[in-house]
Amino acid sequence: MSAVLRNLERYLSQLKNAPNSQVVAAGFLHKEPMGIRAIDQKGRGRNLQETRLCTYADDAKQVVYLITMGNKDTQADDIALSKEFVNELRQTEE
Amino acid sequence: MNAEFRKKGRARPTGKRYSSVQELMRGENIASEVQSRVAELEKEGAVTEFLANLRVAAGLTQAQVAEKFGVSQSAISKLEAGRDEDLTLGDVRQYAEVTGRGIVLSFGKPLTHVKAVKFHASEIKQHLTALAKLAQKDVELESSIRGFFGEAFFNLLTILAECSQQMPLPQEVQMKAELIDTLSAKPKVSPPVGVVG
Repeated sequence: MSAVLRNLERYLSQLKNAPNSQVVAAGFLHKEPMGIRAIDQKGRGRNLQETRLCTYADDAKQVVYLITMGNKDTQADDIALSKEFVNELRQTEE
Repeated sequence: MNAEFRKKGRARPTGKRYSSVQELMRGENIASEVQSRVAELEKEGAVTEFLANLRVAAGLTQAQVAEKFGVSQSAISKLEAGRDEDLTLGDVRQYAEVTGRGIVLSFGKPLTHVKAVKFHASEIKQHLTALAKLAQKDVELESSIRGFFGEAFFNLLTILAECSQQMPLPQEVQMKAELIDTLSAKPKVSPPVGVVG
């Protein structure tokens, strides 16, 4: 979990310097549908449990939503829930 | 998070907002061991994080940097997500070149605010002295350097004035000054400054 949180810190740090969230790329960052980005634990040693934190960055509001956190077993459910979250978020804003 | 969503059957924002990961960890009562480990990891990768930020700010992708370095994109990805210990000074120099920025590395205890201001003031003095010497040697540069001196003078005073305005007002001193003004009947006329004779 600490490795994921540290990578979240790095992601936020890059976002502050980037013109928008779409240009930010890193080894620990995975592009998922609907602009969702999954942050994993990579870069901090081997044999760490595969953990993914699903996030969604709202560039206009300069907010990063932390939606779900899970492992390989929950990955499909996590992405489905994240898509639902982003969908609802977009509908609320419209 | 997931279990909560699954129970509710819908994904909704909790309404909680944090301005940093540290604040998030405190707010969500994350175990202190995890918080300490995150802080350790932060120390281990402060420079690699800085280099990644520098690249992003320069509008460069990892692939573009990799091409200029003559390495693979995954090597850059690994470097940027890795530990400072695995970096070489050559890597840092190459990032400075490729982003067109100057990089200054410092180790040890960070300067206090006062020491930092003194340090930068000394640096400014050193550079302005060098410019003044340059103006003495080069007539063509003299006028533009003179213009820059005026600009620098104005900017430095503006910075000082803006920062001073953020200081708390000295209440007691103000009250005393008002009392003295009220009591003194004679109008004060200040002599002109800088006039001789």
